[in-house]
Amino acid sequence: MTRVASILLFLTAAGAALFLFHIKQQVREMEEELGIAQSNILRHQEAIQVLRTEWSYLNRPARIAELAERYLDLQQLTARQFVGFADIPFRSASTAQLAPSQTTTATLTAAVQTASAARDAP
Amino acid sequence: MTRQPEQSSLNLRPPVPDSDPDRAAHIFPEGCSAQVLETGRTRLLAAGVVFAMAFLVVGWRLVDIAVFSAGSESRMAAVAPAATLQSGRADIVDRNGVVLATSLRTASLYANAKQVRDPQAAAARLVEVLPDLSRTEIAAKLATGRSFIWLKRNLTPRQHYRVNRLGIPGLYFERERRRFYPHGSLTAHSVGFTDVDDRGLSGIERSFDEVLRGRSTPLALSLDLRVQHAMTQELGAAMADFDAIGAAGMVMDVANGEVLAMVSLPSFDPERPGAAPADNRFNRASLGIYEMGSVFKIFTVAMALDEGVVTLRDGYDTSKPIRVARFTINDYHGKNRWLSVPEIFMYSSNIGAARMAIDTGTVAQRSFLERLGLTHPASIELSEVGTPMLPVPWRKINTMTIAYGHGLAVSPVQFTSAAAAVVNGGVFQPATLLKRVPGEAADGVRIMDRATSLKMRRLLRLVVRRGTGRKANAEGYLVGGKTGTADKLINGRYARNARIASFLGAFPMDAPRYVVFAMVDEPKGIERTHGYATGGWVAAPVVRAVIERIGPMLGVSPVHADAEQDDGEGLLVQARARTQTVAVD
Repeated sequence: MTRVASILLFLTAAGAALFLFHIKQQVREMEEELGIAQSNILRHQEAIQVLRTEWSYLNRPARIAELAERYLDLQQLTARQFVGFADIPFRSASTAQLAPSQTTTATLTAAVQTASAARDAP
Repeated sequence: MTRQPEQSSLNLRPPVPDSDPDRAAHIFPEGCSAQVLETGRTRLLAAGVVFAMAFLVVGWRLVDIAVFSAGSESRMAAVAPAATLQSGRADIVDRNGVVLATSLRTASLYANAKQVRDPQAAAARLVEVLPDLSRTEIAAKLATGRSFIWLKRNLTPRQHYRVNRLGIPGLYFERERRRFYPHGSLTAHSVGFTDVDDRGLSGIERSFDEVLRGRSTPLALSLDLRVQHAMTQELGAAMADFDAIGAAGMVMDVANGEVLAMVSLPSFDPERPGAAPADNRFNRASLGIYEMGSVFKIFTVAMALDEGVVTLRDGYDTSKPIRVARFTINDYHGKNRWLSVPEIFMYSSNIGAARMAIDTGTVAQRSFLERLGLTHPASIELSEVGTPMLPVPWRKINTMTIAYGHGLAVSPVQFTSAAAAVVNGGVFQPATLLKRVPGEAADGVRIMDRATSLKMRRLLRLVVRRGTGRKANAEGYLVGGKTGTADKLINGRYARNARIASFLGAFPMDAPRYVVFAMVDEPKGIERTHGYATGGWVAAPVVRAVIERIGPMLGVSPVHADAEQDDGEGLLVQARARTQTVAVD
């Protein structure tokens, strides 16, 4: 009885030791991985910082203005080009039956708003 | 605790059989040894109980940890804190997050000449990658045989990579930190610059030196780079056109004093501050103080209206110059008649303004200007802040000259903040270069009635519609403003040919959101302007161009010309009626 118990106890102890060793090894490996990941993060953060600076440098307003002048056929926005929704003239009564229904107008308005929101977003 | 089981063990002693003396003698040979055995037994028991207790405690703790306190252990693996980049100095960004100043690690190339086998070949290959180096110089350096020679400091990452790819033995890199300003001279005066040891020497870099070192999140300024660029470009163009020696410009949010643009020209490269003359590093917008000229009439009229000294229907006779002691106050383009208050403002009459200031009084003028922050240095977050030059003592003649902007020199920052208070409803907001939290209520100081501010808006709009500021009328943006032309004081005398031409504009005048100030130092008259170099000819067009460019960016919706309700006619009709009354008298 005692012998069986002893053997059992010994086996349990040996099993526990093995398991502990295994876990410890795993933790060590993961810590190593973590260290590599951390140094990678630092490297990438540094690279991001460099890229952010370069992006800011390339976006100098003077450079953008020059590029726009060279490649785009755009002009300075004037106040006349702004029209409020309320100021858009509606169709005359004779073409009223051809006018889009309320729902289409609503959809159109929503589409325009989405488009302008998308344009405003950086 | 140890005593308790000892006492109890006494009772646990087994009964001693005394019926069998032999056996008793065998077990307890003597009374003495029996005593010893008894003691040993007791101690053993005591120790046993102590150990049992200890094991119990350990066992209980095991159960406790394994079963009961499982809750305190995290079930999920904890996320290891990610490594954060220690740049040593926080970035500075504009209000939209555009990087204005950042610290980068750079590689500097040095050589150990002892390890370089073929200096000529190495130099030839190196110059291919770094074309700005001289081949002969490098070869000479590499041939010296010294163990440490700088070849090039602060390489770009691309150059670093290319040099590495050459694989020349004996070349090494030293990692260094350097402050970069991607926008260079555009924000040089407000952002400032640092020395080689990363200490801030001017601008925000200096005034927030400790803050920038102590944090890793970027410091957001109130500047808007696009607005800054528009102002810089327009001022630069005006400077070139009129052959001026300098210029300054400000754009300020009237609601909270945020500075969207602060321009001082000529500017300098903050990465090489030493390369520019000291005059370029001088911040004309905050450190320079100037006698502003007629733009100061804004405060004279506001003060007189607020004190109740005059109403918009009153006026003064401006037909005769004022002579005080050896001074004569005259008008540039005299109307030689009675002028109403709106007319005095519109035609920028010095005589009218001086009379108005005299009626208001020196004490009232002084306290009014003090509340507008014009008598003490601006509270902006820069160390380069000019102290205003005040007349000592402040006499009656000073009151008169200050009425039209002479005899009191202030910085453009002070002037712009004060003008913002006049148009925003009468609340003074100190100028700030830091971005305010959106929606945060700014705590300003009320310096005049709201009604006075509303009247001033109409008067300023009148100047742009019908008066001296017509060239500032950016269509659709309801610009209001005031021109100013001041002779510069050079060696104690007013110079006739050296002037400061300025314009203070605000828009949109029905509910002002921004004030725009432009000032050009020593413009010369040109053919296009018929030889004029006044505020109306030089600075007003700058303000118009700037407003036309920044209006759409800042979300100010333009109003169509015919939609403007108040065309200023009312102000003049009142005045005309009064003129007739005077004539009848």
